[in-house]
Amino acid sequence: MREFKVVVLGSGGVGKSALTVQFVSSTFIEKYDPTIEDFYRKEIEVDGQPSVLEILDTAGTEQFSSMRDLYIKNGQGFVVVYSITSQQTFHDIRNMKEQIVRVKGSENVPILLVGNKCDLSHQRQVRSEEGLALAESWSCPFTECSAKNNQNVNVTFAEIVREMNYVQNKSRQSKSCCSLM
Amino acid sequence: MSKEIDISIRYLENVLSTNNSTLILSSTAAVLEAVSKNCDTTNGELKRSIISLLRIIDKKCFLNQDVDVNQIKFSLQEVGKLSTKYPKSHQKPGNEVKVKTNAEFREIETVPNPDEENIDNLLNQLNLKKVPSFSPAFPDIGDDSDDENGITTKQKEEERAEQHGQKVCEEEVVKLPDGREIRMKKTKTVNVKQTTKHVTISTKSANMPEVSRTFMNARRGFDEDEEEENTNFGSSNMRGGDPFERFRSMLKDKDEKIEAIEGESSSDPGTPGSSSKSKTIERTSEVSQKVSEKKEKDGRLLAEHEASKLDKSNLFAKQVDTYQGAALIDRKGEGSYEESTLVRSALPQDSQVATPPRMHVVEYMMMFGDDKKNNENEYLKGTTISSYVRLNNNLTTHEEQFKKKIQFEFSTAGTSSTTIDLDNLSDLLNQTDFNCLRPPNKFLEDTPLIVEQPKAIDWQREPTSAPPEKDLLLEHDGVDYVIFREKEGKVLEVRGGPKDALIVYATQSTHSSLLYQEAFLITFRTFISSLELVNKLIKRYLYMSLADDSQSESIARHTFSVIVRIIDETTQYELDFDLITSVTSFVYRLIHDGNFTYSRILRTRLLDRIKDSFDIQTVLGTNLCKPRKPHDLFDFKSAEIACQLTFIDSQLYHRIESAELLWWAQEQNEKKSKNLVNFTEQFNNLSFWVRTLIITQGTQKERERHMMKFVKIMKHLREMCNFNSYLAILSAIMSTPLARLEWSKNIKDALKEHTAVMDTAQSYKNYRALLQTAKPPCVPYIGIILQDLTFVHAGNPDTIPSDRCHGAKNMINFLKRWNQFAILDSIRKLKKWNYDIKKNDIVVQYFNGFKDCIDEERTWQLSHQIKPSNRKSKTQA
Ligand SMILES: Nc1nc2c(ncn2[C@@H]2O[C@H](COP(=O)(O)OP(=O)(O)O)[C@@H](O)[C@H]2O)c(=O)[nH]1
Ligand SMILES: [Mg+2]
Repeated sequence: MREFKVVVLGSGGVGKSALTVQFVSSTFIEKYDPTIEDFYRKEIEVDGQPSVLEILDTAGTEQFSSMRDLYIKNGQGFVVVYSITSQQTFHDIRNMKEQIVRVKGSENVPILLVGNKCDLSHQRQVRSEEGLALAESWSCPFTECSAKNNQNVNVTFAEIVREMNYVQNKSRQSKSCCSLM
Repeated sequence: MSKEIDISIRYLENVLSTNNSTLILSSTAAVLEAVSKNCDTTNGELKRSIISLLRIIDKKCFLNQDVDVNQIKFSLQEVGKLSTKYPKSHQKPGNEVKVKTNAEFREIETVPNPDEENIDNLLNQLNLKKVPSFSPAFPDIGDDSDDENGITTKQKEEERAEQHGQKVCEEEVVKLPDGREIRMKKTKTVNVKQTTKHVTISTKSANMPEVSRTFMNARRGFDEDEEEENTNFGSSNMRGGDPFERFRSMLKDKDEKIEAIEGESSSDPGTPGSSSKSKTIERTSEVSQKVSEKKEKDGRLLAEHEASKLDKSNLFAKQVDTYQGAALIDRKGEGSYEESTLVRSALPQDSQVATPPRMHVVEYMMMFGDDKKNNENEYLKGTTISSYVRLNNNLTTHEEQFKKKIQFEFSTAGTSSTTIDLDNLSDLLNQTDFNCLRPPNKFLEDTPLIVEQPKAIDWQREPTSAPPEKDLLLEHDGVDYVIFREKEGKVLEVRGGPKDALIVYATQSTHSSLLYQEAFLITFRTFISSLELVNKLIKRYLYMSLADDSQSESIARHTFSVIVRIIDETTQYELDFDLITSVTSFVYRLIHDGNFTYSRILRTRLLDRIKDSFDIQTVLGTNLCKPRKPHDLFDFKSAEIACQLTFIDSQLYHRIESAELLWWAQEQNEKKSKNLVNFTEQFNNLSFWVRTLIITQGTQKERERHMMKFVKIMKHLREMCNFNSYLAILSAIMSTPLARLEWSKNIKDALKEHTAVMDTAQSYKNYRALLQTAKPPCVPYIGIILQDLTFVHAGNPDTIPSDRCHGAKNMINFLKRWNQFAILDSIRKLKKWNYDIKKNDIVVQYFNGFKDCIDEERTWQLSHQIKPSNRKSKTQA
């Protein structure tokens, strides 16, 4: 089975831990033999293909700016989260793609942009179009979700798996086409 | 006016002009003390004048409000006047103090009531415990050879050495009406010593039953100056019973003889004069125990283990009784008790990194959470907890060092506070069945969690009558309202309940466990603010202190000691206008009620807390002036740099309060968690400072030389168990701008053993394993603790879902708090140790607060200058 490491990034308070907890909560199915270290792991089936996600959630350690490189290095896919109720959190992440790309040393990094807390539409400060525009400039997919209502949460993680699959295939293809030339 | 009052008032008057709050507050405390000692504290007029003096001083100094200094002076003069007018009354003192007829030498009374605070009761509680015999569990030594014929011998040695000493000094001063003084004094010293050694040898060979033999060797010594009869101590059979029993009972006994009398003997006993009697006791005790085990087969050593334990205690206590004629009018006592235990288990040096055993998920769920079918969200999210429990265990098996210091103070009004030992927390969290809730016998709907912002209450003016509706806070016992975990019909620990029931349960004197009380005190901030809690406790105290049954009194005392403990642990953030107003007005109320002792204790603690300032500049040495000749990294040994980094880290680490960590996991408010922020900033600064030093070097050779130096420093840090600086440097070395450059094979090899530590996989499995082997003192990496607390918080509901407790709403989910407590308790344990490092100003000066560093952008630029990027840009593709 394929295994992916996903890093969840974003400012404090946007709902990263809520999102991860929602997602991994259903982990405890007696399917295989998980261990206590497997808290942040979850099996997910996307487009008929099962894979395992290991999630590195930076919640609680956002202020350790010197550790960010390490987190990013360890990840294969990145879920970048802001809260639609806070323009500030959207502003905080605008350079995130550049940071990730720089650390990974490649333009081809699977990223997903997520606007959380979409249940609080009356407090919305970031319009969906703004999120979409940023995602387009990053050329990555975009979703809005609510960790509180468990709305779109699994979809979000499925999307990052798709993105990782896609980027992996693309780089494999480009490698093979390069070697042909 | 008594001289003492006069001096203290004049001193305060002078101090007023300095405008130094701390000085003014402590001088005020001196006035308060002098007045309470020398005046009639039952006089209403006097009490009112003291309260108005405190009110105005507190307004100025605690609350930093503008007040007219002349008004303070006026108040002060008023206190002076009234204290002259109402000197200490010589009438029969307040309630039930037992009066003894005059005797030549008055024995301090021993009243059967064990709750009464006098020196003997206190000592009996504190110091006469036996040190239990030490029996460490050594790993079982398996004999895996097939050789059936060999002879196996097992030798076990147990050594115990005890040494106890006591010095009692009693002094009586009688002031005769004609001004003469009579002094009587006696001193008695006792010393006991004993060593015992047991050696057990078991031999086993093929076809032979096991043979065991025990040898024993004991030596005792006993000496006592100012000779006392000493009949059969030496001859008591040591196998039966405890040879120290007699000594212990002697400590309890009071001796009757007056050894020395100075001055003249007392004249007519009927004359009413004042007298005072003091008794001081010093005790020291030391018990060291060593156990070793050796197993041999045919003379070949199979295994050897050794462990030792040292218990020490020191006690100093003093009690002063004042008599007017025959009547005991005042009793005061104070002292300190210190106890320390050091356990060393010399585990085999080559013991493997303790990897937590794999555990099946079902087992794991049972261990931490509720059955998923019952509730989707409720089981615990926490690999984390299990590893903390293991960390706790590790701290217990490797080397334990307990220190406990108690300061006590009591008077006829009486209070004493003692700290407690924790039972083993892991026992509790290891209870596998969290499913069974025992519903409370009585249900009481709680108010919703979020009530309006609690406000200050002016306790001096607040009436204390029982409210019309039922108020849990006024109950003696909360047990009926608390939800427990239950297993096979046995009630385990608290599982939850209404807020007020949890408070009552934490402050009642019977039923509830010390472990629960500790967990409550560490985690209450997750469901109630300090201010709201303190207000509730004051209400409870005032109500209980009105009643005159002994149970209410005992609850009042217990509640008061909890209030004191909360004040002791308040953070700077919490000490706001409202909290200070509530507490100071409670102090006035106590004075109004005539309880000067409590009011002074509380006021002193509040003052200590407010005074407790911390200057980060001093720690980081940024307030030192620059050295004349600038130093560089190579002027200092790697070990010395590691030591100084650790010195800084441990000071910052020790400042962090549990409350700050809990808050951070909830709301990440930098104002609330100031010390935590200081600590993480230090981490980041060190990391960027290291990056700067390496990358700004002009040549590859210099960069490598610096890199190598930091690798060496890291090695020392790891040995010292300073994981904070260790990881800060590691994060610098592994940061992409540095890591992408070419490094010599030498450096790459040296780094290998470190890079795996920061692997984030499996929830930092590697780092956690490393931490579990750590021997204190230790500074952990706080990031993972924060992450764990964050997920315990995010993954567990604050209240128990109502369908799990018969529809009752807003029941606090205390299981969540147990888990937070498990994490915080291991931190607390780690904080008990301190490094023995002396600050080296030159090195700290060289660090210069780690301010001299370049930003991330510049680091990348330099990195690209050294090694151009081979990344294809978008346009090329
Ligand atoms: N209304 C709403 N609140 C949310 C949502 N996700 C998180 N929160 C709340 O936002 C706060 C911060 O969430 P948290 O998970 O701690 O954010 P983190 O610091 O990024 O991990 C918490 O009070 C959550 O209950 C959401 O989707 N909707
Ligand atoms: Mg958070």
